[in-house]
Amino acid sequence: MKKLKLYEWHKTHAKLGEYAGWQMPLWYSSVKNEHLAVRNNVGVFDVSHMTEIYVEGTDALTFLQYVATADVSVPPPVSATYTTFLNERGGIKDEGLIYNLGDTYMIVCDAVAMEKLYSWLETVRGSIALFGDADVTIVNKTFDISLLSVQGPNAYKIAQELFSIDINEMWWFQCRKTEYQGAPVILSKSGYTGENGFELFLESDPLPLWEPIVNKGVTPCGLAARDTLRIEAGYTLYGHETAEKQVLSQPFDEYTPLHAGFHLWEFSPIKWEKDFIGKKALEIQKEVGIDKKLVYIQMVDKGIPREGYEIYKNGTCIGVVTSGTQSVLSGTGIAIGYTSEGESGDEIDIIIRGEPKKAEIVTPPFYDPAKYGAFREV
Amino acid sequence: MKYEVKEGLYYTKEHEWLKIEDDTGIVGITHYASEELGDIAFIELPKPGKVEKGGKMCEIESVKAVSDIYAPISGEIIEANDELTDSPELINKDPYSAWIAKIKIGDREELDELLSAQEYTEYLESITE
Repeated sequence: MKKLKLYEWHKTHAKLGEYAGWQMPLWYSSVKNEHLAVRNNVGVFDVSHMTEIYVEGTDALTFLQYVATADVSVPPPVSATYTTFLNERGGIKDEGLIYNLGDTYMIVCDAVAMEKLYSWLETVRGSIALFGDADVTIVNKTFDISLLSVQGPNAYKIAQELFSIDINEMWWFQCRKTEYQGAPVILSKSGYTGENGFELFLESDPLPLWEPIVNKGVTPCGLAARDTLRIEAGYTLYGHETAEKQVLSQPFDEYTPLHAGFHLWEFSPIKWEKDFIGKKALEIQKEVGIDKKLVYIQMVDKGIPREGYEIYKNGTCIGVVTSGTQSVLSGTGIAIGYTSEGESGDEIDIIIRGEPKKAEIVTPPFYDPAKYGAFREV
Repeated sequence: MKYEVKEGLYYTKEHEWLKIEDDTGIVGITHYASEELGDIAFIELPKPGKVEKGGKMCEIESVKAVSDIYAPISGEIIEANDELTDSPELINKDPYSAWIAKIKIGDREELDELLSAQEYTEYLESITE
């Protein structure tokens, strides 16, 4: 089992559990406490299990533009780009951020597909003629880098107290190199909770940074609250909403970015004007028709939708839940899933323990954005 | 030992407790089980009727996951704790007060197969560090 550098601290303060081969803190006090701390004040997560891969060399950008769907050559001051990585069938190999750190690019993804993603990058670099003599070096930095994520409406106050740079001057997805007590830290304005926040990448011992954050009254939060927060915000997670199928049973039996609707975003992670792996499959899929789409579901009846539960409409099965939980804010069951049809406002049923339970297709997030989240009215 | 084990109750390795009152067995989940589950969000109460020892009685859901609750003894479920429908968090607050079901005991000899508080404490020590 892989251990975080703060394992000993977590062991004495948290209920531990396994995720993606890592011993992770699931919760310290309780999921609800931690969830509400992030929505109402500020919480800190040790998410050092996350994958970090450096892509270096003079041809790094050319390589990344080919292996990632998004345009990675974003202009400053924004330094991170959300992207998907596809196989030739358009199936999503992974999703995450690519940071331009100036001297190197850093890919940050969930931990689940770390080895697969790393070997895929190596395969592409090694096998594609385009990169035969290219100057591209791929380094897995996951075990060197710790990642602490401070999230919540009061997160920026904590950043102002700890670092000399002014976080309020930064853009969302911008990162800056700074230091804490002499140790280099990359501070990124980003997060995965729907709230404002920042994330700290560092290679030195994270304890001298973790403890002062916690001592400032920031609530330590575990992986369980991270999941309830991201579902409530309507964010996808690799292995659930995005996933690669190992066996192709039928055409487009993959979750592609078009199924997930990523191409419809204002800042789409699909850059059609460039060549990238999987692009041809997506173009064909666009012509043939997109046979399923990501939907957001709120329960009307009591009950918690869970991954794998079937979604029915007028007595016909139209899809399946990929993530579900109970919204801590509303107390109702909420879910993300794929269906072949259905629009926001449609009444549907989720089959819970063999019985259809009333639910509704809604528009994310699962909270009132005027009251919660990064765009709340202060 | 950071988990409470109450004296005078019977226990199962699936972390249910059983309190005997005359010919009725009152069932709940242990402090350890409630801590393992985390915030309990929903309980599907057992329906009245016959149950076999070790048979699935109902399901309990924490924010994170779904778990089964098994009947610690054979008999007939005669009552379920309706209060838990609207307030499942009572189980987290006091797992030894928040009972789930009452079973009219079918076979008292089955009690010998259950764990005492002492045995359950030792079992917990063996599965936790």
